[in-house]
This record gives sequence, structure tokens and C-alpha cells, in this order.
Amino acid sequence: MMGARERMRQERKWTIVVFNVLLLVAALVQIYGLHIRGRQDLISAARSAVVEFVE
Amino acid sequence: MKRPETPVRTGPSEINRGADETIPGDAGAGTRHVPLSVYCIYLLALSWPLGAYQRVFWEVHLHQLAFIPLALETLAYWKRHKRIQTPFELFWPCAAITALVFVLAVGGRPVSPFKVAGGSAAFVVLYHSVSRRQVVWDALHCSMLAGTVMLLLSVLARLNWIFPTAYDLDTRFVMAGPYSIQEGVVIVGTLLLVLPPFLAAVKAGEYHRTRFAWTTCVLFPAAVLLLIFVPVRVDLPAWRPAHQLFLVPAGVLVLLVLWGCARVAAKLIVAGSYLPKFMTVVLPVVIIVGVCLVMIFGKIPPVGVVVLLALLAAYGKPHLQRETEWHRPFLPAIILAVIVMVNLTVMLPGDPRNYEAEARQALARGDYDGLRANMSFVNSLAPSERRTHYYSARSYFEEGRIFQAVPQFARSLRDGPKPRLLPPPATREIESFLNELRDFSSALPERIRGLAYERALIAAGRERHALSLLELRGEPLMLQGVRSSPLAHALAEALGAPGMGAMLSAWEPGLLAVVLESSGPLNGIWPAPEGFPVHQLPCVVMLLPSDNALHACIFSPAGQGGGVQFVTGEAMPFTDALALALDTGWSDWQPRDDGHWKLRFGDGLAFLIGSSPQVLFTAPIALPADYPLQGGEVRIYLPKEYLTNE
Repeated sequence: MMGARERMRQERKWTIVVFNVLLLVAALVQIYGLHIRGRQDLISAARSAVVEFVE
Repeated sequence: MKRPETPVRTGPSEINRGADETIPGDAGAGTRHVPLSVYCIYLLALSWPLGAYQRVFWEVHLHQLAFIPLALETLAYWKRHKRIQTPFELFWPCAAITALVFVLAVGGRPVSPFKVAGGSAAFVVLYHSVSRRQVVWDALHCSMLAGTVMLLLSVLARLNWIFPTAYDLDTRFVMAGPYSIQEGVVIVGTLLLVLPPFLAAVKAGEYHRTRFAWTTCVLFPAAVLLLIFVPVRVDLPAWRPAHQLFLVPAGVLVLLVLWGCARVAAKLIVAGSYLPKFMTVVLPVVIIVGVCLVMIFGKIPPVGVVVLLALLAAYGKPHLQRETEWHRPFLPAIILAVIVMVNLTVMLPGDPRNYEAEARQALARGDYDGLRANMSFVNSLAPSERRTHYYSARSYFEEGRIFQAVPQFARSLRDGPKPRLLPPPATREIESFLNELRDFSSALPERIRGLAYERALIAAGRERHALSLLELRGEPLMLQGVRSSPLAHALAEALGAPGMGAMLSAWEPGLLAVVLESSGPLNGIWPAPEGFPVHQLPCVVMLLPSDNALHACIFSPAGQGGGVQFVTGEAMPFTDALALALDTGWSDWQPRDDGHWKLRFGDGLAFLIGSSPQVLFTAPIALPADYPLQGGEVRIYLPKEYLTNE
């Protein structure tokens, strides 16, 4: 059985992995949403998404 | 049959509690006594998928009432032990989200702080309150049963047996239960996601109410398929993905939510030492996919999604007991059934089916087209809802389009079958509309205001008042010897009360002609051409455009004819044909070889006088919004000698 410290370390590691996956999906959703609404091409939508995020 | 007891598995050492610390809501393994907190969890899980049907009053829902005892019990536990079962790494994102939302609300941002705070609290409390694994599966079972009921009600709504609580005007997709189609999609999607782990738990013996569990596993997908295959035009672009996820300050909230969900998934992934192995894979995947689904379809996830997330997260608690033999939770089901039945049969204040509230909001914000589209849709589902016409009339009136407003007002006052939802307009509302219409139209010149107010009075059953106003419309012409009947029937038609024609025939023809002439800016009296059959005079030609149709009528002593050309959306658009018709305008009466006389309006409409009057539509005609004849156009043809004398 995993020790408490090791378990917490594993939890943190997996949290970061899953968080990054979710972040990626959220970015794709946002880009696609901008693309659908603004009738932009995906590249422009991605650029808009980045600008919005930075702002 | 009772399953054999399995040993209680304990979790990692860091969560072992002192000897005096108890699992919340736990009454000991193997007991048949069901703690109150478990009842509340079941009630919460049962009620949330039913959305509007679990509303108790105003904004208070059954799931909120079920949450109160859980919250109190959590507070009591915290007071006794100075801690709760929800770990800090899951608690702080909830607290941060709540704090941030309140800060945003104070700053004037359009957020719902209490809703978000409630969702965060629900997660913390529910995670704390789950004491056994069977509670998790029982609660999921309850949610899927309730979801099945919601889907079956939605199928009934699609068949128009019950009125929906949510609909999409573009796709005409309806659902019964959720407050919006997006919310409904998220509810169904998340419950479908829960299905695989639920099935796995049943198969693996984690959840051993096999018969009922399998029934649910079949019922819910069957209801989903039933809803999908009831014919409908599904237009997915109406459900557009979110595009504001990372806009500041919403982006900070999104990041916090994603972090919290990632933490839950991570806890389940590393829980392999005391959970079945397949659950440490399936549950994190379900959570990740569920979060993606919510991001795509929902702005703020419905509370049920938080409930499901909390239940799945609590399943990974290390110290949960696995076995129990409890009575089935019939009491929550009975309570919920009563609330649902009440909501199905009675429309309490704040009900989403109350289209009047939405109509008033649309009027207040000036969304007149949206209001009319909404009322039209409601009316297509429930033609007996005469109040929809009242609000359409209101929207036209607010735009100053009184000639469109009055026919709608008249429709709202017609007798009809008992309405499904709201009563017809009350006397106070009728009075209010008439007074406002009177004030508005009396400020207009007589020829511009037409017969709108008089028509509204007649629709409201005040014929004498209307007729007395008409009699004051100027000096009658001297038209002795002219038959009044065609003029009277034309006026009755213009007033929207064809039945009054016989009564108006008693009026002098000169008065009738003056009233008709004064009812529109382009109305006029013309001499009949040479050779026109005298026995067909006086002849009245009338155009009465409405928002979606053109009524054309002709009246003569030989009788009357009429026709309607409906102009509805794409089927018969307002096109260049109209422009052509308007450019050409009215022609003169022309004799034909067969002895008939023909009067053309553009290229699309012709009036024929033969043995009897007729109206012919020969091409689509459409009327643009700025067409000057809102109140209609009346052309009166009299024998030449009367006009010469005049």
C-alpha cells in the first residue's frame, strides 16, 4: 500500500496531468466556439482565443 | 437474497480517525435503519434531473430542501470534530470559486453568486455526507430513474400531450423538466456517462440490487432513444459551443473548476489500493468527458452535474464501507412524486411554462420580434392560449403598428376552448389596451389612424361605442339611389366583423362611403368607367394586408368575393414580385372579350366583375414593412353622375 506522502505526490502528479488535458480541451472548445460564432477560420479563431486569454 | 458480508476495507493511514470519530450519517454496518442524511441524498439525487417539475415554490426546489438537513448535519459534525470529511485540496477550490463569484457580483458582473455558492456547498457537503459506497450507487440509481422519468415526460411533450418547460424556437425541440434545452442536453449526457461505471458496478457485484439496476440500465437508454427518434428537425448549430471560457474574469473561474475536477479525477486514479481497478480508470475518464461536455454545452452546469461529481468523488473516499442491506428509499420517491404531480397539473408562480412572464420581460427590453416568435410557438403547441395573441398585440402596439396589433387583440378576445395554461386577457388588461390605443390613435390624423380603434372596440364587444364614433366621421355624401349594401358589407369587413354588414346596411350610403374613404390615406372614390355595368355599382375594392397575409375583397350589389394570400416565411417570401406589383400599382377597369371587367393590382392580383365579383391571385404578392397601406386600401367606384354632382 502506498504511503501518505507517496499518495499525495501521485495525486498532485495526476492532477497536473488531468488539468492539462482539460485545459487543452477547453482551449479547443473556445477556438471552435469562436470559429462557429465569428465565422472565422480556425487559425484566426485560435489567434483571437490567445489574445482574449492574454488580455 | 442477502449477499455475504465482505470485510470492511480501510483506506490509507493518513485518513484514519480517532476512536471517537464516526462516519457521517453512519449507523453501523449491516443495520437496516436508514439515516436521515441518506434519505436526503436519495431525495437530492432523485429530484435534480426533473428540473422545473421538482419546484416547490418560486425559486425553491426540492433538491434545495433536501440539501438543508445535509448541510446542518455537516455543520454539526464540524462543530463536534472541528473538521469535515471533505479534504482541503477539494475544499479550497470550492471556497475560492464562491469568493470570486461574490467579488464579481459586487463588481456588477452578470453572475449568479448564490447559485454558484450553492453548487460549491453542495459538492463539499455531499462529499462529506456519503458514508458508504452503496449510497453512491443508490443515489446514481435514483438519478437515472428520475432522468428516465424526465425523458419520458419530454417524449410526451414532443407528442404535445403535456406542455414543455423548455423549447428551442429554431429547431422546435422541446423538453419537459429542464429549464433550457442546453441544460437538458447536459443532464442527459452526464447521466449517460454515468451508465458505464454503473453497469460495471452491477456486474462486479459492487451494487447488488441487480434486478432494479439492470432495469434502469435498460430504461434510461431506451428513453434517450425514444426522445431522439420522435421526429424533429434537429439543428445542432443552435447548441453552439462556449466561446467565453477564457475571457477575464470568467477564465479564472474556469481554471479553478478545471483544477478541482482534475483533483477529483486524480484522487480516483490513485485510489487503486482500495477501489476496484476498473473503477480507477472508468471514473476518471467519465469525469474528464463530463467536464468536456459541460464546457461544450453549458455555461453554468446545472446543480445535478455537481451532485454527480460529488458522488463519484465520494466513491473514492478511502474509508467508505462497502456492504449494507437497507430498505429501499420509497419515502423520497413518494415526496417527489407528489411534487411532480402538483407541478404537472397546476402552474405555480415562477413556472417556466408561464410564457406571460417571459413576454413581459421581452416587452420591457424591446425584443418584439423575439416575443412574437415565442408567442407564435406557444400558440402552435396550444392554440387555445388566447393570451399569446394579447402579447403579440402588445408588441405590435409598442412598435406603433396598430393595424397589426388590433387583429391580434381581436383574436385574444374570441371565444374558444379552455386554455391549457393561462386564462384569456382579463377586463383590466382589455381596458388598458383600449385606453392606450385610443390615446395613440387620437393623436394621429383621421385618415392615418384608420379604423383600428373602432375595430378594437367591436372586438371587445362595444359595438355601440364604435358605431357612434364612426357616425362622427364627417358629412355624409349625397348618394340617394345608391344601394348601401356593398358599402355596408365592405365597412363590416374592414371592421373585422362581417356579421355587422346587415345592420350597417340601414345606414345612409353617403355616410358609409365617407367612413370608408376616411379610413386610409390612399382611399378614394372614383367614377366608374364608361360602359361599366351599372347594376354592379357601387363597387368597393379593398386590400387588407396583415403581417403574414394579404386579404383582397370586392363588394358589389351582385355579391362579394374575396381571397387571401398567405405569406409565410420562406414558403412565399417577400420578393421582387412585390416590388413589381407596387411599381405597377392599380390599373384602370378594363373590359374583356368575355364581357367581364378586370381591375389589376400589379401583376399578382386581379379583381373581376362578371355575373359576380371575384378575386384572382395570379402571382405571389408580398408587402414590405414600409408599405404605406398598413390599414388597408379601399377604392369605391360610383356612377359618374354622383361624383359630377358632388
